[in-house]
Amino acid sequence: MAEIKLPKPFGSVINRYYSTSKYIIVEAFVDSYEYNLTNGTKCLRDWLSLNGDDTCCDCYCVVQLDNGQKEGILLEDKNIKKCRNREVSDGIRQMTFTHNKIKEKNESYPLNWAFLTNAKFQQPLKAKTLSGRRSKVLCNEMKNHPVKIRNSEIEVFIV
Amino acid sequence: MALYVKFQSQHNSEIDYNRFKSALKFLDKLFKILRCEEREVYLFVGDSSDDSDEKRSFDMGILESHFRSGIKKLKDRSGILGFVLEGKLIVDKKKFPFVFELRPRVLCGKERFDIRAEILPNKYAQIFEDLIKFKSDLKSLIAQRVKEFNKERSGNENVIKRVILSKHGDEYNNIASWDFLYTSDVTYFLSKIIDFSKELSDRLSFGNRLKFSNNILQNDNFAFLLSRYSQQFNVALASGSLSVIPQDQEAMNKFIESISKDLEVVASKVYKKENETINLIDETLSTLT
Repeated sequence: MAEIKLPKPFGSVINRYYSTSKYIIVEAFVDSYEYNLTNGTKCLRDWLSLNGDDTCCDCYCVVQLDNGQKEGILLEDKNIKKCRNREVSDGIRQMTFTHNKIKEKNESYPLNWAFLTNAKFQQPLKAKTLSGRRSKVLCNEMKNHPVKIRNSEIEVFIV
Repeated sequence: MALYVKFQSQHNSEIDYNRFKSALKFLDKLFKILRCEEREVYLFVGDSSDDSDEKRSFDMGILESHFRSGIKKLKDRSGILGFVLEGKLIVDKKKFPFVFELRPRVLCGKERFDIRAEILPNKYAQIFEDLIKFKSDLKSLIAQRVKEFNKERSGNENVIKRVILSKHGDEYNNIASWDFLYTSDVTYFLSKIIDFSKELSDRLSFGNRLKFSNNILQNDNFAFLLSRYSQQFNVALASGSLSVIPQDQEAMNKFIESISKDLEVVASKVYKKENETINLIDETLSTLT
């Protein structure tokens, strides 16, 4: 089976997160409106039966760890060159929507983590992170799945 | 970018409830321009991503009592209560995921905005401003509804102080990147132009901004200047309160640049630069000692 490669910057995000363990990406879906379907990736919108009206996040992938465990990850990039709406809250909403659609499919796809990169912080959230507190941002429907926010602009990585 | 609304602050005991009612009334005005389906609302405390309230369908009566009980529960801390409405806007037979947020009062200080309205990206659009592609008169309709809102306001509702279409984070500084402005206080428009121009900010660092702005606004020649530039750069102006409706962002940029250049000329005749003023103070004091 050919190796699946995620589009930038998602490959490096996953690499960084699983840097201490061996893993392979077994399945990956990307939003075809924003990314080309290459390197073994499939169309997220077709898979979730979404039409042009709907919003969704950029990528969903399933990672298999060396102990055989599978983890599902949602990814959304708010790169300044690509996105004009870069709000953290809107990124979380897009991921929540995708999360709900995956749940609706009722297949045994895992959902463990959600990463949001290069998003623009709202003032209260920015103040909260800059004060040096470790904080978790949780989605509405993803109570047990912390959203990790990596923001190159203000150099924070919240866990 | 998003649509931001700021209310005039009120000083009475029902302040949070009044903000809530005003936000819903504005929402109603917005829905007269843009039809919205599948509306769901939830309250949140502090941060819209940290909500724990369940989503409920948009029923005004139930929502009102729910919000009231939220205020009662929080007592003195009710300023941290806000709400989010999620729905689907229908414009030109296309649907757009829509988010309307009333931010907590404690986070809406002097410059921050009470309401943020935005769409989520889909095949047709990325940001609220993209809706103009499908409804070309959107900006002027919003200006019209805002004026209606302020006219119909009852005693216990907040008046709308300003409305802008702008990039989040840039809304306080760079007026040239705004796509729409309504303000009930016209001096706000000039104070933002002063912020935009380094030369003006520098010269006015020792001057009185408000006095300068008021005098400029009272001058008939400035009105002629505004009118000339608005025609030249395709920017519609509505007087009384001020609505600036540029055809596109480039038009706004050129419009603001031209006004600020003319104001720089005026300021250069009236005020010295900051360095010159400091040197003058220093020189004058040294002759006295």
